[in-house]
Amino acid sequence: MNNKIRRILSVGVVFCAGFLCFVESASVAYAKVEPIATETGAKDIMRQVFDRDDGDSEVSIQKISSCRYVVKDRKRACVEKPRIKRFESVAKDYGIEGKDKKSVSILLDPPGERGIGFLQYDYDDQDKDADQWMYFSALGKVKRIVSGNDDEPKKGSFFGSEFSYEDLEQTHLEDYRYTLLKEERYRNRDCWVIEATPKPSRAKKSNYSKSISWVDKERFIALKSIKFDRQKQKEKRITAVKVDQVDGVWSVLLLNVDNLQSRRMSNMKLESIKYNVGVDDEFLSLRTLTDGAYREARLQHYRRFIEP
Amino acid sequence: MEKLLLSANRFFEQIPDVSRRYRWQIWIAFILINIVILAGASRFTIDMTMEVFFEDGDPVKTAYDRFRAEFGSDEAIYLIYEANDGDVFSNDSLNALKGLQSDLVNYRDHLKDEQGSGLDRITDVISLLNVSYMEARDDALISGKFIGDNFPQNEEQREALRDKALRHPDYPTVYLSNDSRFGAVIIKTDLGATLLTDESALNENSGDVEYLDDEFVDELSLSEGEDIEMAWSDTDAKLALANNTDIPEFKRAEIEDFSYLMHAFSPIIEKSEYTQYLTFYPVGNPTVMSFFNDVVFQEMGTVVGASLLLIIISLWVLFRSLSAVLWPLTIVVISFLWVVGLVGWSGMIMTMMVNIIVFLILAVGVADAIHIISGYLFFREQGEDHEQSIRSVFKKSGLACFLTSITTSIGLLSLTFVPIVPIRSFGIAAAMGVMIAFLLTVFILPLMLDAWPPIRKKEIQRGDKISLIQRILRSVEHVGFTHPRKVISIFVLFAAVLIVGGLSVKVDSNMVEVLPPDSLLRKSFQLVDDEMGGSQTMEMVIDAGKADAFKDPEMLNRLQKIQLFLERTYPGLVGKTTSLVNVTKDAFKSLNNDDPAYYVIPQSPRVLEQTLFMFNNASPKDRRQLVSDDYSKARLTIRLKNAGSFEYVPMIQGAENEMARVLEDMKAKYPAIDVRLTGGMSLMIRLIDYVSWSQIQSFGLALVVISLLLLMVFGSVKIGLVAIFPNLLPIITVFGLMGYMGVSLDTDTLLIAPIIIGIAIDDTIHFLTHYRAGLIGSKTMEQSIRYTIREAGQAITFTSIVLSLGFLVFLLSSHVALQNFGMLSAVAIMVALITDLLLLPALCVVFKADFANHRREDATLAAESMG
Repeated sequence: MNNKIRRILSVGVVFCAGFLCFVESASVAYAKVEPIATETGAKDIMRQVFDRDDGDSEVSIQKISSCRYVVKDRKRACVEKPRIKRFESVAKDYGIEGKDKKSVSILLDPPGERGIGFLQYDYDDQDKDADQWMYFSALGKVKRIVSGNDDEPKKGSFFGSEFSYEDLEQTHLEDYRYTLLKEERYRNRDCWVIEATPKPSRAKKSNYSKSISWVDKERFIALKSIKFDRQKQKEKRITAVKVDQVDGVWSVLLLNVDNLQSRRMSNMKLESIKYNVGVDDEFLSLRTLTDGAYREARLQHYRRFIEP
Repeated sequence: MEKLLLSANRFFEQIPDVSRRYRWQIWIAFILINIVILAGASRFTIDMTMEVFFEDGDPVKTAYDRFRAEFGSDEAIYLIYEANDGDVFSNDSLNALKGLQSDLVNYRDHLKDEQGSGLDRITDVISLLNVSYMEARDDALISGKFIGDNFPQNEEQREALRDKALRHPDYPTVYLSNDSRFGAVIIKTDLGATLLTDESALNENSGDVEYLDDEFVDELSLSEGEDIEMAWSDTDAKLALANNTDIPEFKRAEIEDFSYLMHAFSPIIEKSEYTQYLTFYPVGNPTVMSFFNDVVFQEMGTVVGASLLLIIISLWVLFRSLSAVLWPLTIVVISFLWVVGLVGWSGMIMTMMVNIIVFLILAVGVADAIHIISGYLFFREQGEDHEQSIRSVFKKSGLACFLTSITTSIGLLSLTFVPIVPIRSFGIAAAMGVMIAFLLTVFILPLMLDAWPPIRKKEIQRGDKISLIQRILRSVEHVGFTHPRKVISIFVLFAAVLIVGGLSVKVDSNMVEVLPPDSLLRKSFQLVDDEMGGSQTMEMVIDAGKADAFKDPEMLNRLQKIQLFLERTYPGLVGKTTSLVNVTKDAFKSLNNDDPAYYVIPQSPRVLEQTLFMFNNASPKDRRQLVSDDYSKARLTIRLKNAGSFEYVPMIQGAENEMARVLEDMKAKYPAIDVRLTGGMSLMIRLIDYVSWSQIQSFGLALVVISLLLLMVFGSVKIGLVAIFPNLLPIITVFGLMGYMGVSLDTDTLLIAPIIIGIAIDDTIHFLTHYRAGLIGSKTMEQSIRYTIREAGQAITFTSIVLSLGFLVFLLSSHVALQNFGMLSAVAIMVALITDLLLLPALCVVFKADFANHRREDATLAAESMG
């Protein structure tokens, strides 16, 4: 009995879906926009997202605030004083097509953590894990941080916020299978709704079983992503709250992550940013972490780009 | 008073005739009442969760909710495994463990997206394979899983790994035993900590495009460009804290949820590919809960059924009449249904204790009906006709039934002094049941007997054939008054011996010792206690009331002090304690090239803060298990060997006192500092202990009230005292036996008390009212006793036999406490019977309880009414 109902329902769903696709592709064709309904089509969109111009280098000050919240009148209200981490960051692209990246981040706030620094090398090569060094200002020590195993999801969180490294890292286009679910207007913008499922090799390293993103057709930025945990339950919603053009680069100036399971959220705010400034290769090396005088001198120089 | 009693007897005598006159009206009214009341049955709800014992806003529950909001659920399965080859580090053992762990984590690979599984409740699976590990190598700080995929390739590596594990400060007795023969997997769940409002949203992940995002919250409530700080208001937050609206509402963990999890979990650990190499011993609250749901509750139906069957059989054997079987059962069943209906209408919520109501109504209802039917048969045997017999038995027993119902109800209503709602509801509902059974006996039973009298015509040829029971009664009836002093001495000696035993009875509720001694579950708990650090956990939360408090070395020092205190003061009970202190020391050591001298809490606040930063960065999930995001609340998990409330409660108090002492000088810096033991286990144990003591107090109170009532009813201190001692004896017997058998007084065995009060006192009341009636009827003391034992004695014997057999059925249960409950109840009932047949007459003789004043008054009254 149950099975029968399910079969009827699923036939109905397939039929309706087919009909919708037909109507939609027809209307899209009429509007003379490229009809995209295939897997390759979805992948093409994502390629454009990945290849979007994000500058060759940047200097920025960012602030991450996090809190536990409750929902009141469909609005989130923090139930604790938001914890704030501020850091300045200098980054530069390397490698073929600028797909590798080196960056230095130095904490400004809170006072107890002031001066903690990170040096990070991210590689486009799928088999190569990021290198990370950390400087402990209170101990005057630099440590290379190695997170044990390769074949497992990364546990680390970004500055102790709700953002995990995986949420923020540059993913590889080929690691996922993409499906265009539909097109719709979201926050008054035309969007593709695309589902990305990690391929098996990626799946074992990922914290997520899939994600669904609303990709802005004009700017190729995901305005919203929903991440599903390994139990296929909704875990996080990441929203690009404020998007604007800075130095000709579409930038997410305010990114919110909402952990729907633990009711905690974090905001990452680009307080100021400057793209395509000249960054010394030497600054993006261990010397910056170990040599305080050198670091301060160089930072003074970079800060001038982003002073209001 | 005397007039009152006399008129009460007359009142009850007239009831059958009056009811007969209005029998059609009464039958119709009865049926209508049935319909109305039973309509409420659909609203009847049973809640098996522990939460039901707390009212909303109860600080204990709020603290637990806050704990769960911060740290998640504390319901976990602790799976111990024994390596069949004796080494958890052998390749076979490690491979089996890896397969098992992968099954528990990747089970979704074989399921459709929308398909639910009991394993969905699992949030984390931690073993030696993936427990967080930190070490320094050259200038690198390596954090990751302890073994991961790097299985030892040769003996040398294997021994190195073993050495590393056994020397780790936090692994032995938690993740492996000291001889590395046993290992453990901690399976954390979200039971009791999933958000209530989110549930529907989280469940629909079916891929239906229209419901991709439920938008239960306005995601742009932080309008463009605004910071998160806009979603924060100090006053709002303070208000929320005061009203507890800062805590999300959690979906309660129903007992079925535990079963659902265990049903999905058990087949995995039963796979031969794992059992070939590992032997599993799962413990933890989910295993116990699931056992209760799957075994104990399922059995309850059988037990109640078997008990009913046994009562039917014994009624049949005693009365040899179908109607004498049918009517008492009808009254019992209808009484229970009325309770169900009325409870449904009233909106009260019942707990597992509803089982007890079933047996109470069974006991009291059957007793009332047997008294009437047995008396009826007695008078028929004396040659009275049907109507006169009914009249006689109501005159003789009506008042006694009324008094017994009243005293039993008082015993139950005493529970309303316990400030816990479900226990109060239980007391009210059970008292209601007892009174309903009484009312049905008085008003409906006569009509039932009219409709189908319990006797065949040919047998009413006056007692040529004396029943077995009568023969036995006649052979003992003289003992009480021929050797009164001997009888009393024997009973006193008997009581003295029992009191000695009773002195060693502990008030102790043990969650594990109620499991069958030979069950795997019970053995697993024992094994885990013996080989690992303990099978239970308690949680403690120190809330400093101020952000960043646990980045203060002073606070961590004190936390460490508390841990040391616990481990040293209660070495037989407390195993490993885990808190932020453990990981801080481990992280600090790693930062200093694994130099053991640095396995300490860094005393510079900045160094501590950066150590914590490093740890948080490496394993935010572990950090979140130990300290709140704002570092205002720290959690201390205490692994404990299984024990009962008797040992746990003083330990909890000791720990709380020590914490208060240790944290005293921190008050200046953190004025709002608050320490609490919380977590399901500690809550449960304290609740149960509290309930036990409340029960003891309220039953003590009930005993006093009932004794006073007896004094009043019989109008003489002497008679009152004569009545009370035989009623103490069943209680003394039960306690004494428990003492000698090593059974402790827990919430289950304590429920014997209302049954004893219900039945033992009933017997005495029936005896004394008949005895008194005999004396008033101008019989001598000896004649009255003979008459009483033959008439009331027969009914008392009947009820006692029927009910003790009914209770003995509990021996079929797998629940040790219920077995004890059944056995001890049966013993108490039989002791009450023997006491009333032998001791009570002896006491009446020795204390010359002759109701002298009554006789005079009654004689005058009788004369008045004659004149």
